[in-house]
Amino acid sequence: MKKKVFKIILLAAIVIATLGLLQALLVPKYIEENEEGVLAGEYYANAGSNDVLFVGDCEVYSNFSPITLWQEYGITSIIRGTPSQTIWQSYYMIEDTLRYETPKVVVYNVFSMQYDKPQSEAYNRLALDGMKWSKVKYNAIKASMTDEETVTSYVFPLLRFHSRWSELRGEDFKYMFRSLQLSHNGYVMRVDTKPVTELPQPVPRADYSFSETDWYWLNKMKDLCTAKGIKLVLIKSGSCYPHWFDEWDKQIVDYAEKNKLTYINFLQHQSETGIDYTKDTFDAGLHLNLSGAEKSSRWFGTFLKDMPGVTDRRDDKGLTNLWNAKIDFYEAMKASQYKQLEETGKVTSYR
Amino acid sequence: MKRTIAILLALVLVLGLAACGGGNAPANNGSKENTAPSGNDKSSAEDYYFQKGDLKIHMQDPAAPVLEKLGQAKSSYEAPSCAFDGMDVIYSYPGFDLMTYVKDGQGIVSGVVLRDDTVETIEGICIGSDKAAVEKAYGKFADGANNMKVVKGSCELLVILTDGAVSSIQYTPNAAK
Repeated sequence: MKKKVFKIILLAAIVIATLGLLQALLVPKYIEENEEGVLAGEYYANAGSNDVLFVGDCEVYSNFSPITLWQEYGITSIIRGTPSQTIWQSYYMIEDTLRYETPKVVVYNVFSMQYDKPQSEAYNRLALDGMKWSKVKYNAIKASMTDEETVTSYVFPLLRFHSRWSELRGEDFKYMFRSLQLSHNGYVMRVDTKPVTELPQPVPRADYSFSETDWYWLNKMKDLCTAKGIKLVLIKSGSCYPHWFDEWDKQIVDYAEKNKLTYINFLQHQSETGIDYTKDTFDAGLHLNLSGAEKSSRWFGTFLKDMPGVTDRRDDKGLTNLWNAKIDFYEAMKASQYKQLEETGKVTSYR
Repeated sequence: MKRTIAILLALVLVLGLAACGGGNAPANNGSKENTAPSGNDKSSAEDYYFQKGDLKIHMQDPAAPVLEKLGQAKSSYEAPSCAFDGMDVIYSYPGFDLMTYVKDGQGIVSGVVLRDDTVETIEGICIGSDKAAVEKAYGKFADGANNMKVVKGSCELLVILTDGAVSSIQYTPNAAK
Protein backbone atom coordinates (compact mmCIF):
# COMPACT_ATOMS: atom_id res chain seq x y z
CA MET A 1 0.00 0.00 0.00
CA LYS A 2 2.80 2.38 1.04
CA LYS A 3 4.65 1.56 -2.15
CA LYS A 4 1.58 2.38 -4.21
CA VAL A 5 1.11 5.72 -2.47
CA PHE A 6 4.79 6.53 -2.98
CA LYS A 7 4.52 5.74 -6.68
CA ILE A 8 1.47 7.96 -7.05
CA ILE A 9 3.23 10.83 -5.27
CA LEU A 10 6.35 10.35 -7.37
CA LEU A 11 4.34 10.28 -10.55
CA ALA A 12 2.39 13.38 -9.53
CA ALA A 13 5.70 15.14 -8.82
CA ILE A 14 6.99 14.16 -12.27
CA VAL A 15 3.83 15.43 -13.92
CA ILE A 16 3.96 18.72 -12.03
CA ALA A 17 7.64 19.18 -12.88
CA THR A 18 6.91 18.40 -16.53
CA LEU A 19 4.08 20.91 -16.62
CA GLY A 20 6.35 23.44 -14.91
CA LEU A 21 9.01 22.92 -17.56
CA LEU A 22 6.48 23.18 -20.34
CA GLN A 23 5.18 26.40 -18.85
CA ALA A 24 8.69 27.83 -18.50
CA LEU A 25 9.33 26.96 -22.14
CA LEU A 26 6.07 28.19 -23.62
CA VAL A 27 5.44 31.52 -21.90
CA PRO A 28 6.71 34.56 -23.88
CA LYS A 29 10.19 35.69 -22.77
CA TYR A 30 10.07 39.30 -24.00
CA ILE A 31 13.77 39.35 -24.84
CA GLU A 32 13.96 40.01 -28.57
CA GLU A 33 10.53 41.52 -29.04
CA ASN A 34 7.97 43.25 -26.83
CA GLU A 35 10.89 43.77 -24.44
CA GLU A 36 8.81 45.90 -22.07
CA GLY A 37 7.19 42.66 -20.90
CA VAL A 38 10.09 42.16 -18.47
CA LEU A 39 9.59 45.49 -16.70
CA ALA A 40 7.00 44.40 -14.13
CA GLY A 41 9.23 41.55 -12.99
CA GLU A 42 12.41 43.62 -12.81
CA TYR A 43 11.11 45.56 -9.84
CA TYR A 44 11.75 42.84 -7.30
CA ALA A 45 15.53 42.80 -7.73
CA ASN A 46 15.57 46.55 -7.13
CA ALA A 47 13.12 46.76 -4.23
CA GLY A 48 13.83 47.78 -0.69
CA SER A 49 15.41 51.20 -0.52
CA ASN A 50 13.53 53.47 -2.88
CA ASP A 51 12.29 56.82 -1.61
CA VAL A 52 10.38 57.69 -4.78
CA LEU A 53 8.09 55.41 -6.78
CA PHE A 54 6.83 56.31 -10.26
CA VAL A 55 3.76 54.52 -11.63
CA GLY A 56 2.07 54.88 -14.99
CA ASP A 57 2.49 54.05 -18.63
CA CYS A 58 5.33 54.48 -21.12
CA GLU A 59 5.38 58.18 -20.30
CA VAL A 60 7.09 57.31 -17.01
CA TYR A 61 9.39 54.48 -18.01
CA SER A 62 10.68 56.41 -21.05
CA ASN A 63 10.74 59.92 -19.63
CA PHE A 64 12.51 59.68 -16.26
CA SER A 65 15.90 58.32 -15.30
CA PRO A 66 16.37 57.13 -11.70
CA ILE A 67 20.08 57.04 -12.43
CA THR A 68 20.09 60.81 -13.00
CA LEU A 69 18.07 61.37 -9.83
CA TRP A 70 20.70 59.40 -7.93
CA GLN A 71 23.70 61.00 -9.58
CA GLU A 72 22.43 64.56 -9.26
CA TYR A 73 20.56 64.46 -5.93
CA GLY A 74 21.24 61.13 -4.23
CA ILE A 75 17.54 60.29 -4.55
CA THR A 76 16.70 56.59 -4.67
CA SER A 77 13.82 55.95 -7.02
CA ILE A 78 12.16 53.21 -9.01
CA ILE A 79 9.75 53.22 -11.91
CA ARG A 80 6.98 50.63 -12.05
CA GLY A 81 5.67 51.55 -15.45
CA THR A 82 4.32 49.21 -18.09
CA PRO A 83 2.95 49.90 -21.58
CA SER A 84 -0.54 51.42 -21.50
CA GLN A 85 -0.74 50.84 -17.77
CA THR A 86 -4.24 51.64 -16.55
CA ILE A 87 -4.91 53.53 -13.32
CA TRP A 88 -6.11 50.40 -11.51
CA GLN A 89 -2.88 48.67 -12.49
CA SER A 90 -0.94 51.69 -11.21
CA TYR A 91 -2.86 51.40 -7.95
CA TYR A 92 -1.94 47.75 -7.57
CA MET A 93 1.69 48.48 -8.46
CA ILE A 94 1.72 50.78 -5.43
CA GLU A 95 0.05 48.16 -3.24
CA ASP A 96 2.51 45.55 -4.45
CA THR A 97 5.43 47.87 -3.76
CA LEU A 98 4.20 48.33 -0.20
CA ARG A 99 4.80 44.64 0.37
CA TYR A 100 8.52 45.35 0.01
CA GLU A 101 9.10 48.97 0.92
CA THR A 102 7.35 52.22 1.76
CA PRO A 103 8.47 55.05 -0.49
CA LYS A 104 8.20 58.64 0.72
CA VAL A 105 6.73 59.86 -2.55
CA VAL A 106 4.55 58.21 -5.19
CA VAL A 107 4.46 59.90 -8.60
CA TYR A 108 1.49 59.00 -10.81
CA ASN A 109 1.35 60.04 -14.47
CA VAL A 110 -2.26 61.04 -15.09
CA PHE A 111 -2.30 60.33 -18.83
CA SER A 112 -4.04 57.00 -18.22
CA MET A 113 -7.03 58.79 -16.64
CA GLN A 114 -8.55 58.79 -20.12
CA TYR A 115 -8.95 55.00 -20.09
CA ASP A 116 -11.75 53.53 -18.03
CA LYS A 117 -11.71 50.05 -19.55
CA PRO A 118 -9.01 47.41 -19.94
CA GLN A 119 -7.10 48.14 -23.15
CA SER A 120 -6.28 44.63 -24.29
CA GLU A 121 -5.14 41.27 -23.01
CA ALA A 122 -1.74 41.93 -24.52
CA TYR A 123 -1.13 45.00 -22.38
CA ASN A 124 -2.59 43.25 -19.32
CA ARG A 125 -0.06 40.47 -19.76
CA LEU A 126 2.81 42.96 -19.87
CA ALA A 127 1.66 44.54 -16.62
CA LEU A 128 0.54 41.47 -14.71
CA ASP A 129 2.49 38.38 -15.70
CA GLY A 130 5.71 39.73 -14.20
CA MET A 131 4.16 40.51 -10.80
CA LYS A 132 4.96 38.08 -8.03
CA TRP A 133 2.04 36.07 -6.77
CA SER A 134 0.10 37.60 -3.91
CA LYS A 135 -3.41 38.72 -3.14
CA VAL A 136 -2.43 42.05 -4.71
CA LYS A 137 -1.68 40.37 -8.03
CA TYR A 138 -4.93 38.43 -7.84
CA ASN A 139 -6.87 41.67 -7.28
CA ALA A 140 -4.94 43.39 -10.07
CA ILE A 141 -5.89 40.58 -12.45
CA LYS A 142 -9.54 40.76 -11.42
CA ALA A 143 -9.59 44.51 -11.99
CA SER A 144 -7.79 44.28 -15.32
CA MET A 145 -9.27 41.36 -17.20
CA THR A 146 -11.02 41.81 -20.50
CA ASP A 147 -14.17 39.74 -21.07
CA GLU A 148 -12.21 37.04 -22.86
CA GLU A 149 -9.66 36.50 -20.09
CA THR A 150 -9.75 34.21 -17.06
CA VAL A 151 -7.93 34.29 -13.73
CA THR A 152 -6.95 30.66 -14.30
CA SER A 153 -4.94 31.63 -17.37
CA TYR A 154 -2.84 33.93 -15.17
CA VAL A 155 -2.42 31.30 -12.45
CA PHE A 156 -1.44 28.70 -15.04
CA PRO A 157 -0.05 30.63 -18.03
CA LEU A 158 0.48 27.25 -19.73
CA LEU A 159 -3.26 27.17 -20.33
CA ARG A 160 -2.93 30.42 -22.26
CA PHE A 161 0.28 29.78 -24.11
CA HIS A 162 0.23 26.03 -24.67
CA SER A 163 -0.05 26.33 -28.43
CA ARG A 164 3.04 28.53 -28.81
CA TRP A 165 4.85 25.42 -29.98
CA SER A 166 4.96 26.69 -33.51
CA GLU A 167 6.35 30.08 -32.40
CA LEU A 168 9.19 28.79 -30.22
CA ARG A 169 12.55 30.40 -30.91
CA GLY A 170 16.01 30.23 -29.48
CA GLU A 171 15.20 32.72 -26.73
CA ASP A 172 12.40 30.50 -25.41
CA PHE A 173 14.95 27.80 -24.55
CA LYS A 174 17.77 30.12 -23.56
CA TYR A 175 15.69 32.17 -21.14
CA MET A 176 13.48 29.48 -19.66
CA PHE A 177 14.81 30.12 -16.17
CA ARG A 178 16.33 33.56 -16.36
CA SER A 179 15.77 36.87 -18.06
CA LEU A 180 17.89 39.68 -19.42
CA GLN A 181 17.81 42.98 -17.60
CA LEU A 182 16.27 45.71 -19.72
CA SER A 183 15.69 48.68 -17.46
CA HIS A 184 17.56 50.95 -15.12
CA ASN A 185 15.32 50.82 -12.04
CA GLY A 186 12.41 50.80 -14.45
CA TYR A 187 13.77 53.32 -16.96
CA VAL A 188 13.90 52.08 -20.55
CA MET A 189 16.73 53.80 -22.42
CA ARG A 190 16.76 54.99 -26.03
CA VAL A 191 19.56 57.28 -27.17
CA ASP A 192 18.43 57.94 -30.75
CA THR A 193 16.55 60.97 -31.96
CA LYS A 194 13.53 61.45 -34.18
CA PRO A 195 12.52 65.10 -33.92
CA VAL A 196 9.04 66.47 -33.72
CA THR A 197 8.40 68.24 -36.99
CA GLU A 198 4.64 68.54 -37.14
CA LEU A 199 2.14 67.08 -34.69
CA PRO A 200 -1.23 65.92 -35.96
CA GLN A 201 -4.19 68.07 -35.09
CA PRO A 202 -5.93 66.67 -31.99
CA VAL A 203 -9.17 64.80 -32.59
CA PRO A 204 -11.88 66.51 -30.51
CA ARG A 205 -13.78 64.40 -28.00
CA ALA A 206 -17.51 64.25 -27.54
CA ASP A 207 -16.98 64.27 -23.79
CA TYR A 208 -13.81 65.21 -21.93
CA SER A 209 -14.99 64.13 -18.48
CA PHE A 210 -12.89 61.46 -16.82
CA SER A 211 -15.07 58.56 -15.82
CA GLU A 212 -16.28 57.63 -12.36
CA THR A 213 -14.09 54.53 -12.63
CA ASP A 214 -10.95 56.63 -12.95
CA TRP A 215 -11.90 58.97 -10.14
CA TYR A 216 -12.63 55.91 -7.96
CA TRP A 217 -9.13 54.56 -8.51
CA LEU A 218 -7.47 57.95 -8.11
CA ASN A 219 -9.27 58.42 -4.80
CA LYS A 220 -8.23 54.94 -3.75
CA MET A 221 -4.62 55.74 -4.68
CA LYS A 222 -4.76 58.99 -2.71
CA ASP A 223 -6.30 57.27 0.33
CA LEU A 224 -3.72 54.49 0.26
CA CYS A 225 -0.88 56.98 0.11
CA THR A 226 -2.38 59.06 2.90
CA ALA A 227 -2.83 55.98 5.10
CA LYS A 228 0.81 55.04 4.61
CA GLY A 229 2.16 58.56 5.09
CA ILE A 230 3.23 58.81 1.46
CA LYS A 231 3.08 62.04 -0.54
CA LEU A 232 1.19 61.50 -3.79
CA VAL A 233 2.36 63.70 -6.66
CA LEU A 234 0.40 63.86 -9.90
CA ILE A 235 2.23 64.59 -13.12
CA LYS A 236 1.56 64.81 -16.81
CA SER A 237 4.82 63.69 -18.27
CA GLY A 238 6.55 65.57 -21.08
CA SER A 239 5.34 63.53 -24.06
CA CYS A 240 3.60 65.77 -26.56
CA TYR A 241 1.67 63.08 -28.46
CA PRO A 242 -1.00 61.73 -28.00
CA HIS A 243 -2.55 65.07 -27.19
CA TRP A 244 -3.26 66.06 -23.59
CA PHE A 245 -6.38 68.22 -23.70
CA ASP A 246 -6.82 71.38 -21.63
CA GLU A 247 -10.19 70.02 -20.53
CA TRP A 248 -8.42 67.01 -19.02
CA ASP A 249 -5.77 69.17 -17.46
CA LYS A 250 -8.33 71.35 -15.72
CA GLN A 251 -9.98 68.34 -14.10
CA ILE A 252 -6.64 67.24 -12.66
CA VAL A 253 -5.77 70.78 -11.55
CA ASP A 254 -9.12 71.00 -9.73
CA TYR A 255 -8.72 67.57 -8.15
CA ALA A 256 -5.21 68.36 -6.96
CA GLU A 257 -6.34 71.66 -5.51
CA LYS A 258 -9.31 70.11 -3.75
CA ASN A 259 -7.19 67.32 -2.27
CA LYS A 260 -4.10 69.43 -1.54
CA LEU A 261 -1.94 67.43 -3.93
CA THR A 262 0.85 68.68 -6.13
CA TYR A 263 0.19 68.41 -9.86
CA ILE A 264 2.95 69.15 -12.36
CA ASN A 265 2.23 69.26 -16.06
CA PHE A 266 5.66 68.94 -17.66
CA LEU A 267 4.29 70.25 -20.97
CA GLN A 268 3.89 73.60 -19.25
CA HIS A 269 7.48 73.65 -17.99
CA GLN A 270 9.36 73.17 -21.21
CA SER A 271 11.61 76.16 -20.62
CA GLU A 272 12.51 74.99 -17.11
CA THR A 273 13.17 71.37 -18.09
CA GLY A 274 15.02 72.46 -21.20
CA ILE A 275 13.30 69.80 -23.28
CA ASP A 276 13.87 70.45 -26.96
CA TYR A 277 11.48 68.34 -29.00
CA THR A 278 13.77 68.49 -32.00
CA LYS A 279 16.47 66.70 -30.02
CA ASP A 280 15.04 65.04 -26.94
CA THR A 281 12.62 62.46 -28.33
CA PHE A 282 13.25 59.23 -30.23
CA ASP A 283 9.84 58.91 -31.87
CA ALA A 284 8.67 62.41 -32.72
CA GLY A 285 7.18 63.32 -29.39
CA LEU A 286 5.62 60.16 -27.99
CA HIS A 287 8.55 59.37 -25.71
CA LEU A 288 11.67 61.18 -24.62
CA ASN A 289 15.11 59.83 -25.45
CA LEU A 290 18.01 59.62 -23.02
CA SER A 291 18.84 63.33 -23.11
CA GLY A 292 15.16 64.17 -22.64
CA ALA A 293 14.73 61.76 -19.75
CA GLU A 294 17.83 63.11 -18.06
CA LYS A 295 16.67 66.72 -18.50
CA SER A 296 13.21 65.87 -17.10
CA SER A 297 14.75 64.06 -14.16
CA ARG A 298 17.24 66.80 -13.43
CA TRP A 299 14.47 69.37 -13.23
CA PHE A 300 12.03 67.13 -11.36
CA GLY A 301 14.79 66.30 -8.89
CA THR A 302 14.91 69.91 -7.72
CA PHE A 303 11.32 69.43 -6.59
CA LEU A 304 11.63 65.86 -5.28
CA LYS A 305 14.70 66.58 -3.13
CA ASP A 306 12.64 68.95 -1.01
CA MET A 307 9.81 66.49 -0.39
CA PRO A 308 9.45 65.36 3.24
CA GLY A 309 11.54 62.29 3.91
CA VAL A 310 13.45 62.42 0.66
CA THR A 311 17.12 62.88 1.41
CA ASP A 312 20.45 62.75 -0.32
CA ARG A 313 21.57 59.20 0.43
CA ARG A 314 24.94 59.26 -1.28
CA ASP A 315 26.69 59.08 2.09
CA ASP A 316 25.31 55.56 2.57
CA LYS A 317 28.20 53.34 1.47
CA GLY A 318 26.03 50.29 0.84
CA LEU A 319 23.65 52.28 -1.34
CA THR A 320 26.50 53.96 -3.16
CA ASN A 321 27.98 50.58 -4.07
CA LEU A 322 24.58 49.37 -5.21
CA TRP A 323 23.97 52.42 -7.39
CA ASN A 324 27.48 52.38 -8.78
CA ALA A 325 26.70 48.96 -10.23
CA LYS A 326 23.49 50.37 -11.71
CA ILE A 327 25.46 53.26 -13.21
CA ASP A 328 27.90 50.80 -14.80
CA PHE A 329 25.01 48.99 -16.51
CA TYR A 330 23.52 52.34 -17.57
CA GLU A 331 26.78 53.50 -19.10
CA ALA A 332 27.32 50.17 -20.83
CA MET A 333 23.88 50.27 -22.42
CA LYS A 334 24.39 53.89 -23.41
CA ALA A 335 27.71 53.01 -25.09
CA SER A 336 26.15 50.02 -26.85
CA GLN A 337 23.29 52.09 -28.24
CA TYR A 338 25.57 54.91 -29.39
CA LYS A 339 27.75 52.31 -31.09
CA GLN A 340 24.74 50.88 -32.92
CA LEU A 341 23.76 54.38 -33.91
CA GLU A 342 27.22 55.10 -35.25
CA GLU A 343 27.50 51.82 -37.13
CA THR A 344 24.00 51.40 -38.51
CA GLY A 345 22.34 54.77 -38.11
CA LYS A 346 19.71 53.36 -35.77
CA VAL A 347 19.22 51.61 -32.45
CA THR A 348 18.16 48.05 -33.18
CA SER A 349 18.61 46.60 -29.70
CA TYR A 350 18.36 48.09 -26.22
CA ARG A 351 21.39 46.23 -24.92
CA MET B 1 -2.08 2.19 -11.01
CA LYS B 2 -1.83 2.02 -14.79
CA ARG B 3 -5.06 3.92 -14.99
CA THR B 4 -3.65 6.70 -12.78
CA ILE B 5 -0.55 6.91 -14.94
CA ALA B 6 -2.65 7.06 -18.06
CA ILE B 7 -4.81 9.86 -16.63
CA LEU B 8 -1.80 11.92 -15.51
CA LEU B 9 -0.02 11.49 -18.82
CA ALA B 10 -3.16 12.41 -20.68
CA LEU B 11 -3.36 15.57 -18.56
CA VAL B 12 0.17 16.54 -19.59
CA LEU B 13 -0.60 15.89 -23.22
CA VAL B 14 -3.85 17.79 -23.14
CA LEU B 15 -2.37 20.82 -21.43
CA GLY B 16 0.89 20.80 -23.28
CA LEU B 17 0.03 19.87 -26.79
CA ALA B 18 -3.62 20.41 -27.49
CA ALA B 19 -4.03 23.29 -29.86
CA CYS B 20 -7.46 24.53 -29.07
CA GLY B 21 -6.81 27.98 -30.49
CA GLY B 22 -6.18 31.34 -28.92
CA GLY B 23 -2.96 30.26 -27.33
CA ASN B 24 -0.47 32.27 -29.25
CA ALA B 25 1.47 35.14 -27.74
CA PRO B 26 -0.83 38.04 -27.06
CA ALA B 27 -0.68 40.54 -29.82
CA ASN B 28 -1.97 44.04 -29.91
CA ASN B 29 -2.52 44.50 -33.55
CA GLY B 30 -5.89 46.15 -33.39
CA SER B 31 -8.96 44.76 -31.75
CA LYS B 32 -11.33 45.07 -34.64
CA GLU B 33 -11.93 42.39 -37.20
CA ASN B 34 -11.52 43.42 -40.81
CA THR B 35 -15.05 42.61 -41.79
CA ALA B 36 -15.23 44.98 -44.72
CA PRO B 37 -14.49 43.52 -48.12
CA SER B 38 -11.59 45.17 -49.86
CA GLY B 39 -12.16 47.41 -52.82
CA ASN B 40 -14.36 50.30 -53.39
CA ASP B 41 -17.60 48.86 -54.57
CA LYS B 42 -19.56 48.47 -51.37
CA SER B 43 -23.16 49.53 -51.29
CA SER B 44 -23.57 52.92 -49.68
CA ALA B 45 -26.71 51.67 -47.97
CA GLU B 46 -24.65 49.31 -45.80
CA ASP B 47 -22.22 51.75 -44.27
CA TYR B 48 -21.48 55.32 -43.52
CA TYR B 49 -18.40 56.20 -45.49
CA PHE B 50 -16.44 59.25 -46.56
CA GLN B 51 -16.19 60.09 -50.24
CA LYS B 52 -13.39 62.11 -51.79
CA GLY B 53 -14.00 62.52 -55.51
CA ASP B 54 -14.79 59.05 -56.80
CA LEU B 55 -13.02 57.40 -53.90
CA LYS B 56 -15.25 55.89 -51.21
CA ILE B 57 -13.41 55.33 -47.95
CA HIS B 58 -14.93 52.72 -45.67
CA MET B 59 -13.72 51.91 -42.18
CA GLN B 60 -11.52 48.80 -42.00
CA ASP B 61 -10.70 48.99 -45.71
CA PRO B 62 -7.13 48.12 -46.64
CA ALA B 63 -5.23 51.41 -46.56
CA ALA B 64 -2.87 50.90 -49.49
CA PRO B 65 -5.37 51.37 -52.37
CA VAL B 66 -6.97 54.31 -50.55
CA LEU B 67 -3.61 56.02 -50.04
CA GLU B 68 -2.65 55.39 -53.64
CA LYS B 69 -5.82 57.01 -54.94
CA LEU B 70 -5.61 59.94 -52.53
CA GLY B 71 -2.09 60.76 -53.67
CA GLN B 72 0.60 62.50 -51.66
CA ALA B 73 -0.56 63.63 -48.22
CA LYS B 74 0.25 67.13 -46.95
CA SER B 75 1.93 65.49 -43.99
CA SER B 76 1.91 62.25 -42.07
CA TYR B 77 2.63 61.29 -38.48
CA GLU B 78 3.76 57.87 -37.39
CA ALA B 79 2.87 56.73 -33.89
CA PRO B 80 4.46 53.39 -33.07
CA SER B 81 2.79 51.08 -30.59
CA CYS B 82 4.18 51.37 -27.06
CA ALA B 83 5.30 47.78 -26.91
CA PHE B 84 4.10 45.78 -29.84
CA ASP B 85 4.86 45.70 -33.51
CA GLY B 86 2.56 48.05 -35.27
CA MET B 87 2.26 51.62 -36.29
CA ASP B 88 -0.64 54.02 -36.33
CA VAL B 89 -0.22 56.56 -39.11
CA ILE B 90 -2.19 59.77 -39.51
CA TYR B 91 -2.21 61.23 -43.03
CA SER B 92 -3.31 64.84 -43.45
CA TYR B 93 -5.03 65.83 -46.67
CA PRO B 94 -6.70 69.14 -47.51
CA GLY B 95 -9.85 69.19 -45.40
CA PHE B 96 -9.49 65.85 -43.65
CA ASP B 97 -7.19 63.42 -41.84
CA LEU B 98 -7.04 59.70 -42.57
CA MET B 99 -6.06 57.36 -39.74
CA THR B 100 -4.62 53.91 -40.33
CA TYR B 101 -3.23 51.11 -38.22
CA VAL B 102 -1.31 47.97 -39.09
CA LYS B 103 -2.85 44.56 -38.72
CA ASP B 104 -1.02 41.41 -39.79
CA GLY B 105 1.41 43.56 -41.72
CA GLN B 106 -1.31 45.35 -43.63
CA GLY B 107 -2.42 48.98 -43.21
CA ILE B 108 -6.11 49.31 -42.38
CA VAL B 109 -8.27 52.44 -42.39
CA SER B 110 -9.27 53.23 -38.82
CA GLY B 111 -10.69 56.71 -39.09
CA VAL B 112 -11.45 59.81 -41.07
CA VAL B 113 -11.73 63.21 -39.39
CA LEU B 114 -13.11 66.15 -41.34
CA ARG B 115 -11.23 69.35 -40.54
CA ASP B 116 -12.88 72.15 -42.49
CA ASP B 117 -15.81 73.02 -44.75
CA THR B 118 -14.02 72.13 -47.98
CA VAL B 119 -15.19 68.53 -47.55
CA GLU B 120 -18.52 67.14 -46.41
CA THR B 121 -20.27 63.91 -45.60
CA ILE B 122 -22.31 62.04 -48.22
CA GLU B 123 -25.34 63.39 -46.37
CA GLY B 124 -24.16 66.96 -46.97
CA ILE B 125 -22.88 67.90 -43.52
CA CYS B 126 -19.63 69.80 -43.08
CA ILE B 127 -17.79 71.77 -40.42
CA GLY B 128 -19.99 74.77 -39.69
CA SER B 129 -23.32 73.13 -40.62
CA ASP B 130 -26.07 74.06 -38.21
CA LYS B 131 -27.91 71.78 -35.83
CA ALA B 132 -31.04 71.65 -37.96
CA ALA B 133 -29.10 70.41 -40.97
CA VAL B 134 -27.47 67.69 -38.87
CA GLU B 135 -30.83 66.59 -37.49
CA LYS B 136 -32.28 66.47 -40.97
CA ALA B 137 -29.41 64.27 -42.12
CA TYR B 138 -28.99 62.00 -39.12
CA GLY B 139 -31.95 62.41 -36.76
CA LYS B 140 -32.53 64.29 -33.52
CA PHE B 141 -29.88 65.06 -30.92
CA ALA B 142 -30.65 63.79 -27.45
CA ASP B 143 -31.98 66.49 -25.13
CA GLY B 144 -29.18 68.86 -24.17
CA ALA B 145 -26.54 66.85 -26.07
CA ASN B 146 -23.87 68.61 -28.08
CA ASN B 147 -22.91 65.51 -29.99
CA MET B 148 -24.50 62.67 -31.88
CA LYS B 149 -23.15 59.25 -32.70
CA VAL B 150 -24.90 57.34 -35.49
CA VAL B 151 -23.99 53.85 -36.57
CA LYS B 152 -24.43 52.13 -39.87
CA GLY B 153 -22.72 48.87 -40.78
CA SER B 154 -19.06 48.91 -39.85
CA CYS B 155 -18.91 52.64 -39.23
CA GLU B 156 -19.70 55.02 -36.39
CA LEU B 157 -20.14 58.64 -37.33
CA LEU B 158 -19.65 61.20 -34.59
CA VAL B 159 -20.83 64.78 -35.06
CA ILE B 160 -19.91 67.36 -32.43
CA LEU B 161 -21.55 70.75 -32.11
CA THR B 162 -19.98 73.84 -30.61
CA ASP B 163 -22.20 76.88 -30.17
CA GLY B 164 -24.85 75.34 -32.39
CA ALA B 165 -22.60 74.58 -35.34
CA VAL B 166 -20.70 71.45 -36.31
CA SER B 167 -17.14 71.58 -35.00
CA SER B 168 -16.02 68.01 -35.66
CA ILE B 169 -17.06 65.08 -37.86
CA GLN B 170 -15.38 61.75 -37.24
CA TYR B 171 -15.74 58.38 -38.93
CA THR B 172 -14.49 55.45 -36.84
CA PRO B 173 -15.03 51.69 -36.95
CA ASN B 174 -18.22 50.45 -35.32
CA ALA B 175 -17.04 49.33 -31.88
CA ALA B 176 -19.76 46.68 -31.74
CA LYS B 177 -18.50 44.90 -34.84
